[in-house]
Amino acid sequence: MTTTPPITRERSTAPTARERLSGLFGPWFLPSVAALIIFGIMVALRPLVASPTGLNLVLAPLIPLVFAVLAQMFVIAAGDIDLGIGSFIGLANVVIAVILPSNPAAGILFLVVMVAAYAAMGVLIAVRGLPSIVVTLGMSFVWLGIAILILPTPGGVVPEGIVSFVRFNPPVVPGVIIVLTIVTVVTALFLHRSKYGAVLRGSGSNAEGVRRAGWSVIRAKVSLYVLAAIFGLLSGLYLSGQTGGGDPYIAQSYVLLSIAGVIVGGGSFKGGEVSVVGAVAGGLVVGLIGSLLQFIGVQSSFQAAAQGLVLVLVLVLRALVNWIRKVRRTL
Amino acid sequence: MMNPLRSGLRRSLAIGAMIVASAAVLSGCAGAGTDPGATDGGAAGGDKPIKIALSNYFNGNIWRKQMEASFEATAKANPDKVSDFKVVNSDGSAPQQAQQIQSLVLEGYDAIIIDAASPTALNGAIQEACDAGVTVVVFDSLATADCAYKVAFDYETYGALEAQFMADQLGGKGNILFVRGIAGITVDDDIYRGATSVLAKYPDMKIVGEVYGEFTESTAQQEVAKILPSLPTIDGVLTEGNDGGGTLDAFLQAGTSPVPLVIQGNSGQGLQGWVKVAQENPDYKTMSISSQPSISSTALWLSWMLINNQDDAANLPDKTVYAPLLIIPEENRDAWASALEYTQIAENPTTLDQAQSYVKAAIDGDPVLQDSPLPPTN
Repeated sequence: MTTTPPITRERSTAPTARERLSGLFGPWFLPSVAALIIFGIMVALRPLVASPTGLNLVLAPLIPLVFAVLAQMFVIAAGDIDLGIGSFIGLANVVIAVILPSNPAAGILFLVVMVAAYAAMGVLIAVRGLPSIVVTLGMSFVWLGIAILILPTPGGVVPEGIVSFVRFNPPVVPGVIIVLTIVTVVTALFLHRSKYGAVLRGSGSNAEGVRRAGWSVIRAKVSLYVLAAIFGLLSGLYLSGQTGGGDPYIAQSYVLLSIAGVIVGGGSFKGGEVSVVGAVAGGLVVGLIGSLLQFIGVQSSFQAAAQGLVLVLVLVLRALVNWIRKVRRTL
Repeated sequence: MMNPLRSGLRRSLAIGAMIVASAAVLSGCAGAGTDPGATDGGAAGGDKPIKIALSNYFNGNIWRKQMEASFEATAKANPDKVSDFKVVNSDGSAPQQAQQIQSLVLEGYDAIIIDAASPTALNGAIQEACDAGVTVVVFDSLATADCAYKVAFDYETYGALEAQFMADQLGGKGNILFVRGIAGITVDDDIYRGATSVLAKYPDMKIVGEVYGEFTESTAQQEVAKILPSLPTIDGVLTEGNDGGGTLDAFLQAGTSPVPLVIQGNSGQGLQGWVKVAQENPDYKTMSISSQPSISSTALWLSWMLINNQDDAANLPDKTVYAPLLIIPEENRDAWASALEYTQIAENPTTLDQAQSYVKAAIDGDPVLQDSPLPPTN
């Protein structure tokens, strides 16, 4: 809601106190608080969670999900939705578990071609104005189909190097914290502080403005799709290292979870309005709810429903915060 | 191969223990009482109640619900063996199940039993659980992690048994429709492989159609009804469990006569349909076979044995126990048909004694792959 308006709209004079305040409590604020609260309750229930081992056990499985949420965030920033990201990650997992070990060059080439294919998909959507839901849904079956061709039933062995890289866990600071911090900071600086980051966000929310400022909207959108593909590959890399094997269906649930993560994280389907910190926090919220409900002891039949309810609750809270802001502004 | 050797070894150990014991008794030594346990290795373990969790990835069909219920019932009925238990469900997602397993480790469970979403996707989480000292038993839908113990059904035997029965009944020739489970999962692969390996011996038995019934009566009925018009006369239908009743209904509604031999999959619906057809045609022959949801209880007992170091369970070859497939031959049909609800699947609640006998059979190299009990009386 409050991402800075893209370059074209003339900057109003000095930011007022209220604007500075709403900058401080940007869209990333609520999901971050929610993630911290959930984590706090988990620590209260099981103090072991706060230990380095505990942090690793709880957060490590969320890293691939966070990468998937960031991938989805780039596509949503373009004003689109990606229903194919789950199958894409599954294909990356299969390539890493089956092709990479036997023929590293072919495996890497395959992954590069996958990114190129995502770029081509972005071109198709941006130039022809095709609805992204249809294109990405269609492509999801292509990714899945190729993955099943390579690996009909789950199997394969992920190279040892990738496994130890992903499970890297230095003694003092847990590896998961290092990875989350680096990824969040680098991505946030790029998307929110760099000039081209502003262009990328603008391509979704204010394409006309970007065009007038002399940037190519199509190139910007394609860049967003390439970024989405790269983060999809990273997600697949982490999933591969954590599981040690390949499974075409492994990330199917990430499609909806990643969209939920972006939206809970303060993004909006209008395009351009996304927050990296919010998306990472949103991914953590979506992922941690499951563990929390399990810690509390919610019966297994109700877990899915309870998970959905908590997500709706976060969204309601967000709507409420927005409404209060609006009322304040009109006063 | 190793069976006679092992049991021979055990026998000589037992005889040795007896000699030692009698010698001790003769000489009036008071310590004799502990000897049999020490030499057999079986009863040497403890009797500590365990804290156990079941991680399931899908509870949307009857089999899975009964599977969860069996675990809970066994755990509740044995407070001296199970001090605390919990069931978690990951709603079809392998990464979420991996996450659940890691949370269960943090919650301090002694044992985690897992009906796995994927043969490979959980191996990392399972390995970490093992490293943390948790006893991990995978069952039904297995994961390949080396450190996990396994409770399995021999699904190739499933396919071989039903195909052999059909070949015998049809005199080695006929058109066959195959109602398969779900594409790409190992259960379907194994049953299909077992059945086709038998059919290969009978060149006149041809599979003329295949549909996927998803182990669900209603889906099987729809899929069979859709393909029937395109097929020649069907003499027999091979199935994969909880799909025979719907299949039979599809033939009955199409007015097919005579009704083909439909292998049943142990559901109340299927058995009641079989009873009805047999009343009209006393010559109608078939059988019913499926896996038992109570395998979760076998996994529970195996965990208890492992933690308490009982019954030599740690020495299982390939760390694998087989749970018997439940077969309902014609003579048991009426008893099961009246004992089951329409939507229920036949099962025999697994007791500790039974689980111990399965473990012993597996260690002796002669696993119990099938069983045809009468319904439990209560």
